[in-house]
Amino acid sequence: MQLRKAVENKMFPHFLAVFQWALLVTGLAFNLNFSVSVTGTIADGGLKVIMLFHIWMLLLPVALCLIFFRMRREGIAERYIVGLSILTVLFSIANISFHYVNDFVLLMKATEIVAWSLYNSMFSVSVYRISAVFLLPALRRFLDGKTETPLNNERL
Amino acid sequence: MRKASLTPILLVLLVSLFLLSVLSNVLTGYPERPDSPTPDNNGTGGGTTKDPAILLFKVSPIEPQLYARVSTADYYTGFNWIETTNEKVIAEFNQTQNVNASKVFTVEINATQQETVLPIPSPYSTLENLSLTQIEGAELYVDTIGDVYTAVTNGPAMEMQLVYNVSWRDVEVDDELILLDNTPEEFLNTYLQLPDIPAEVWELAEDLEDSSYSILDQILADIQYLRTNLVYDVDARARADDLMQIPQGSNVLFCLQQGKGICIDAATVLAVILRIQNIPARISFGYKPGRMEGDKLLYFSTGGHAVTEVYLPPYGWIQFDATPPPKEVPRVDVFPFKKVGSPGSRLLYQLSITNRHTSEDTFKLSVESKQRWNVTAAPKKMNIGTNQTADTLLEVAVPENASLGQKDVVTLTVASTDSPAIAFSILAIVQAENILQTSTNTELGILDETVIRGNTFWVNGTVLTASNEQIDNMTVFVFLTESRETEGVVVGKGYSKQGNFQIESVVPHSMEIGDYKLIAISLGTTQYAPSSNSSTTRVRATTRIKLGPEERFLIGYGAIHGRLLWDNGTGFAGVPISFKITLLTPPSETWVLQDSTLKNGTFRLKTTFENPGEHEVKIMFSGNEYVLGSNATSVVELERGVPTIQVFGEDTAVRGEVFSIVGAVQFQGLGVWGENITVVFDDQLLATVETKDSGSYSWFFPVDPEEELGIHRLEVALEKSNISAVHEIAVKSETKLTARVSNIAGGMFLLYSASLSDDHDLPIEGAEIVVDNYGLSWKTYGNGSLTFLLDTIKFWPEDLVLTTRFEGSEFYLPVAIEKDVALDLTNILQFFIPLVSPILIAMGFAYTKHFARRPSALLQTSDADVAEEKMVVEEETESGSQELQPLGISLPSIGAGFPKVWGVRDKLHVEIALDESVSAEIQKRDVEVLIDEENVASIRLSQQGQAEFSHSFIKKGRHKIQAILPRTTGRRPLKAEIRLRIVDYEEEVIRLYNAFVETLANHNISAGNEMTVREIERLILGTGDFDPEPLRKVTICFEKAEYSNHLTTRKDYEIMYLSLKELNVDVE
Repeated sequence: MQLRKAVENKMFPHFLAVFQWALLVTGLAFNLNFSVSVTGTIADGGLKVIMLFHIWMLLLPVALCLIFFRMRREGIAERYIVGLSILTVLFSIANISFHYVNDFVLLMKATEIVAWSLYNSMFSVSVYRISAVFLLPALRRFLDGKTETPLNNERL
Repeated sequence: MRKASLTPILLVLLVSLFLLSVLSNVLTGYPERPDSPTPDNNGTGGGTTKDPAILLFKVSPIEPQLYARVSTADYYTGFNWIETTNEKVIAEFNQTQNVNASKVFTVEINATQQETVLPIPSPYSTLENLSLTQIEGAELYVDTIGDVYTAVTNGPAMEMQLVYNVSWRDVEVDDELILLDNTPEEFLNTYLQLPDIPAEVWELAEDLEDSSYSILDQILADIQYLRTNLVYDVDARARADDLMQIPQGSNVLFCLQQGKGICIDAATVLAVILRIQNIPARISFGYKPGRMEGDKLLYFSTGGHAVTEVYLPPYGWIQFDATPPPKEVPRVDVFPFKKVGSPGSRLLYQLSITNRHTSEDTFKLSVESKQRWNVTAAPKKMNIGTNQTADTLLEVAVPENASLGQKDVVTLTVASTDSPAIAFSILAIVQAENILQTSTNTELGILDETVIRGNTFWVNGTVLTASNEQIDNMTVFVFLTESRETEGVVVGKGYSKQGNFQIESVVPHSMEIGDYKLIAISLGTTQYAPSSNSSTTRVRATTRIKLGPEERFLIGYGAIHGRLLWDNGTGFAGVPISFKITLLTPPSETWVLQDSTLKNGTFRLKTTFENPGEHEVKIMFSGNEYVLGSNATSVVELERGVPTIQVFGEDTAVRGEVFSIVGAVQFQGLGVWGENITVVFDDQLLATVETKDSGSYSWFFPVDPEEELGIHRLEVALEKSNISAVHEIAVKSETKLTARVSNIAGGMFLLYSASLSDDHDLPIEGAEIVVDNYGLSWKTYGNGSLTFLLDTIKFWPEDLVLTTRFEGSEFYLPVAIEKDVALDLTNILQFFIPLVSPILIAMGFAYTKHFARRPSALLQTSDADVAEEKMVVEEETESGSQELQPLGISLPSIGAGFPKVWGVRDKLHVEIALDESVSAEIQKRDVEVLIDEENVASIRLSQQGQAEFSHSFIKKGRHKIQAILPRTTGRRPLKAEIRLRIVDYEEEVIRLYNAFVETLANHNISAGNEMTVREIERLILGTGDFDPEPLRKVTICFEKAEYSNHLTTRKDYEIMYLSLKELNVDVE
């Protein structure tokens, strides 16, 4: 009961982070992407294109930032996620902004890559937290074996 | 700790290496599989047809193209042929041996040829300019009788690069000179050898044998039989499993029963039949010529061949090839094979030709006489259906000056006029002898003056000698011929019976109508001379009328139509005829169509009947002297009304291309035939078209390439009725879509540009172009082009096919193109590295945090050489907040000097203290208490900065108590932490005792499993190393915990712990 409560209260945001990340990567794998070409902005004669991917990388970190900010005192992981999501949002904003400015292709791509890295880091922190809470105790029990009772009291 | 921190780094490195290797595999694709090397088969041993064509030798000059023999075989086992070389002797080569050579051939052995036997163009060849010095190590054999050579080298001829000459004689065999009688018996025994031959073969050979034949005739008759009754089929050989293993083998009975075989089968059957007929024969193996190269004829390993050699003294071995023809050539039987006639006489052979090809064919007969006697085949040309047989005659006139005994070989070739490859030749032999033949008279009886094509008619007559003797069993052929006998058709054949014949004849449908000469020919026999008689007859044909399906007609429009057909169902054409249509119901009217030449028999009669209602109509074709008339009646309904006009067709016309329209003029579903329709396009008259059978009409016209784009008007009108139909056509332009892809920013982006132009290469502005893969669409600019900056990561890791579409518009046709985009490494890395690296970092972090101590703890266990798992005690003796921190947690229940161990379900007193020095930073004095990361309470600190609470742990194991005190904003909260272990004291005492017993091994005390606790105590005391007082306490504590029913309390634990300490036992 306590565990369920703990999961609902504290682990839900982590699960949310992981699931939405998995959804995006799956979406990319299955080419689920909607594109919006950006009027007026041109690089090397080409129209810049904003994809669902870019918008996702902006909006989801905003949402996660708000959620994790409320529980930032829970632990170090939560605080990290808040920090990472703020950075991701900033780089995403920069990336999307570059879509609306002529040229600056490399800068646009660089901000995108940084935002993408940060975004993935957020997810991995969540994975770490989930593992620390659920997987490691189980792993420890598995590795330690049962040590609560004497092993060889039969001989005495 | 230092040792442990290297491990996660190594782990991360390993994982990244693995991922990189996976990635590089994905990037570069899997290593290309090398093609399996094909073994270099030079065909050692060669000779089978399955090997690839290897050039064996070259022969010059190229004419005549001869079969080149390499070896012979004389012994037949019933399945294969064996060469018994004992008949051969080494020849003493004589350079002046050949004086009558017709031709000298030069043979060049190819370097790759590995035969040990030298090929010799044959037949009738001898070697010249060939000496043993020239062929080093070669031996030359000659047949004991005859002068056919076989040259055998002692090693592969390839090493010798031989070039030698062969002189060849074109020998004409005169069978009068053939004399087998003086042949040695030993020789005959060899070449008349036979294994156990099936009786069927034996019977066949005896049936074929004719005492009136000369030896040569007999051989030719045998060959004739085989070539007629067998067909060439490699598969048949493959089906005879036992033969697959024996390349030079043949099963005679199998071949004859199947009627199929290859050269070796026919050669074997011929040799066996000849041996049964007491004619010495053997098999020769060699090669047929392949293609020509310059002035040389090339012989390949695939040209392997076998022929029969017959011993005909004084000529020696003569080759005969009985290879059967391919299965699609016609089968031709000639009867009889040989005829004898006196000089000046006329001899007739019966021929029957069967078309074995899969389609009907016209065959042409050509005859050739060796002696240039007068020979004719009649008819010379015939049309034969598939698997149908036709009869024909072969006539040979023995010249007056022919010497007695003189022989002529007539070669008859039946060839398809369509495909010259389908041809078959057959022989007939005629010999001039002094034979007295009785002359005969063939008389025809009363015949019908006309015969109808396809109908049976009877031809009667008599065959009598000059002295009116009745002749029995004389074959009589009935011919129909226009002028000359040779161009006629055999319509019947029969036999005379007591001098009379009555022959059932049928004129084939394929025969033209007209006047013919009917000839009855008695073929004659050895005793009776042939004779013939003729009469004239007219061949007529029937016709029939097939009316069209319509039964209703619109007065003033349309017509009665139908087809006039020949007896064979083909349309009547090209003959002027007259038709008559009569309205049978009153008022009777007749309407005549005169001298109309029909096309494929179709006629159409526009009537002038004006009375509506149902009428019976009779259509009559009167026929003429060659064509029988016919008629048909039909009930038609005549109606008044106005037809409707319709126009169909595409809604879109493309500029510069042909546009077709179709439509129909109908009345209540009935087509209106033969009316003129005008086609007007944008007020311009394009054409006037006539409606067809079902009232339909069609027209196509090229749309002007400069035509204005947009909607145009097409009007079709039937002026007679003043009706019209309008069709709106959108004239559009072809569109051309081109796409170009280039990389931007080191391949991180694709620059994808598409441009759209019309048929005049003018750019199309504002057209929406869709890039399907990205779901992008945008309108083209003034130059008709559009460029996107695209990111390909979402297509990782496959190559991309970009599909671009223009969906078409009012003026332009839709168009779509596909463009291949190759995988770019940069795109993958910039997607993949940010994805992987945080995961790796997190993994490393997690490992360092949670598993760093595991290895060292395990290491201790292994140092102590304890096989069993050991409880790992960590951080218990350390204070959770030993550093000088402003916030602290203490556990007063646990006395000093004891580890942080507490009993399960026992109440534990916890005190939290705050240093007053930091109290200024504290806003709220509420301390958050977390037990095992779980917020359990919020306790307010007292003025002295103290708080306390009690907690009972209900679960055994390690636990953590944390206290968090928030500070003013911008500063980290204060935090204190203490870890403890919750145990069951009873278990803990037992555990400590067990641990103590295990340490005894260090004092060389071996406490066995079977010993009681008191025995162990005595054993320990015996060593004198331990103080007996604490040892006794340890024993008592353990006994209480293990054996008594008393509750083991913290006191017992403390006694146990302190006693063990006194004994200097490190139980942790």
